Amino acid sequence: MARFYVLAAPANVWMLILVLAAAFAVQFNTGELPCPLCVMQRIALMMCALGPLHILMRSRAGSLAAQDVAVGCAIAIVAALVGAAASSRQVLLHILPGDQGYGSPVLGLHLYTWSLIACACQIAASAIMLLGVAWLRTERSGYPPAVKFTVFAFALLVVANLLSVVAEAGWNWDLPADPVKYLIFK
Amino acid sequence: MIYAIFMAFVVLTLVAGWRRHASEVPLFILTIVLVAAHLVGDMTTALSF
Repeated sequence: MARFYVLAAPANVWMLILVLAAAFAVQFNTGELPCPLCVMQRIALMMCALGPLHILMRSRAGSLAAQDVAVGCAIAIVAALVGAAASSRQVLLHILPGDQGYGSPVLGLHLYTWSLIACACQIAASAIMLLGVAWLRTERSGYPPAVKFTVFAFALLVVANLLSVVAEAGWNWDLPADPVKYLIFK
Repeated sequence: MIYAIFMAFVVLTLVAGWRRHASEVPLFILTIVLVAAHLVGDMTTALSF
């Protein structure tokens, strides 16, 4: 069973990296800057990834305990609940008929709607991983594939987002509600 | 700048996890509480059009 987690955890992290990278790509392709709630959703998704990363990093020793999986899933679920709250808030802000929504839609849905779907999927995935703990004994898991690369890719994405949000906010404490330019270059 | 601080906390939590440091989970809890508090602050602020 430990081998299941060693494969599921990196798959989960890479799925979240893909979602965050897609949001980043939309930001640069369309030139639409993320609003404060969009940035909050990105932060929540980053924090979701800390859950499977916890499982992945604990399995580096070659064994995995039920406690490691439980803590990792709890981290992901709590972060996904905060992300779902932020994206629900933004969905509700633009729910009135005639409202065009914030930003351009991707595959027919706005990014905050995709974020809500991603958070719901994360909660479901973590719950399924938690169910598997029923069959997990502390056992050899084998060395997980490409741990360093996965952690490095995630760290790189977080740092890139950090630099982007610093450029967007300039020296202000908060972001403008409807940002149109990078304030640091003003 | 506040969002950059949140992201810096995410990086710190990641580093703590990589080093198997005991501060990993407390750092995560601190970050999620700060993020949730900021979100509640946003949700309870009157909208302006």
